[in-house]
Amino acid sequence: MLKQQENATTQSVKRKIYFGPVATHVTDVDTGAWRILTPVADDEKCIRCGICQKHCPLAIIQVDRETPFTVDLRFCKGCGICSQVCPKDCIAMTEIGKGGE
Amino acid sequence: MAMVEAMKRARVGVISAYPITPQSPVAEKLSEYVADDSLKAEYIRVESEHTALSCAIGAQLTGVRACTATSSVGLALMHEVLGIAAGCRVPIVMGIINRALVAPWSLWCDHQDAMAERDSGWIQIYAESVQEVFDYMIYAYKLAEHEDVLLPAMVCQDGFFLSHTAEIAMIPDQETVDSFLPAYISKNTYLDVNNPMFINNLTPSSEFGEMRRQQKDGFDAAKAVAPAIMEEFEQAFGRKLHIVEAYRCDDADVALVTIGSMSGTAKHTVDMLREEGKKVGVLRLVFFRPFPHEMVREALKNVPTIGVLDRSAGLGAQGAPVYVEVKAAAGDCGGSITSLVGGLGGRDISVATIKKAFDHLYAVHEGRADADEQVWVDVRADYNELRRKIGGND
Repeated sequence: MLKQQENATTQSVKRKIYFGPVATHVTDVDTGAWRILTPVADDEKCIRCGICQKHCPLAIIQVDRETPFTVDLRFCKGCGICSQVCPKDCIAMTEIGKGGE
Repeated sequence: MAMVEAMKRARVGVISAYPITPQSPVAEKLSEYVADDSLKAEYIRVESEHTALSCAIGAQLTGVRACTATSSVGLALMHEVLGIAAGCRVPIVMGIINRALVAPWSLWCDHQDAMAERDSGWIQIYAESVQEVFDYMIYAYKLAEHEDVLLPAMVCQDGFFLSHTAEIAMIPDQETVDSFLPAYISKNTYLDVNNPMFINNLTPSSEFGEMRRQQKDGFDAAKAVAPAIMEEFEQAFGRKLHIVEAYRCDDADVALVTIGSMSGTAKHTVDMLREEGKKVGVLRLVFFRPFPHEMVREALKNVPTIGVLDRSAGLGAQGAPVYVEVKAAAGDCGGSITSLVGGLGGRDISVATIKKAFDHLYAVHEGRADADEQVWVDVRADYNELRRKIGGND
């Protein structure tokens, strides 16, 4: 078990506004706004192998035996990797559900 | 070693330093103190100076004083990381043991390394003696960590002339240092898994200018609070520190602006020349960043003939780096200012060199030489003949 130092930072001077580049709320980063094309899977062809899920750089695909292909559209940037790696070619990059609207 | 004693007294908690001549004894001594447990710190064996500073920044952000030191090309390798400490307002104090940049390859004293980082957003202080190396290191922690300053600081000592010279220095005990310099607490952003924040995120053009402007405020605050912290230092340790030191400039006809260990030799030479009836003085710069232009102007405004002796060339500019800033500060006061270059690549700035500098300045003073012509005081006139062709016809 790594020995943690005493929480020296909890004694730090509490500021409301910090100097320099800092983000304290990560909700500012809805990358879905950048998306142009949206992945849509044909559930009939999908074999629920999970390869798309493994390759998603943002880890926002849900798919398993019980769950059909589902993407968290708040963050999907439409990179198309899931569509590229699908062995059944059942994911299409479509104009449906374009981000930033 | 004075630098190491200061780091030890400052209770640094994480050390990440990569060895480079003439800094190596600093990295080595720190490792000995960690090994024998007299300094309670983590020692990270990094593979380069770029990593050394990166680790130091990460460490300081978790709420400890980080420790690193370097020279010459090591500082150059840190270049892109310097901006992170400055822009994220991480008040690291780094020891610089000044050595020339390459090429030509040198191991020896020159200010080019630190001068190349004069726009980095770091405070720069130049020590004259081994005592000052200790004193300004301790002082720099307090200045850098001040909640209105929050800027990283380089404390510079001349390679070999200070780093490898034995001088007697008063090293105060830990309790006295603790009373002047309490334990470090972060006064800005920090890394804490219980209260996470994203530091140094991408900043759009709509905010970049404002953030940079905040750093200027930090430098203005450094100038404003520096004297008061010096008074606290004098109370605690009994020694006076300076932003600039004007030595016998009040009635001087000719004054030489100096920086670093050459200043001691310059002041000694001034005493000798004064014995001969020459009214000369030295203005020693201790702070280079922030540049104390008001104090420089005040000290030089009545001096008719001024020379600035730079220990770096500042190639391509009207003159060498310190000269350019002194000229901006005091060039319109009525006196003339001349750029002098000397002591490059480890060449000793001796009494003879300083006398040569004053001889030239007297020539300017008496109208026998052009003030605007830069003079490389200790470079041989036959400098093109140094490396002759082998064979062939000359």
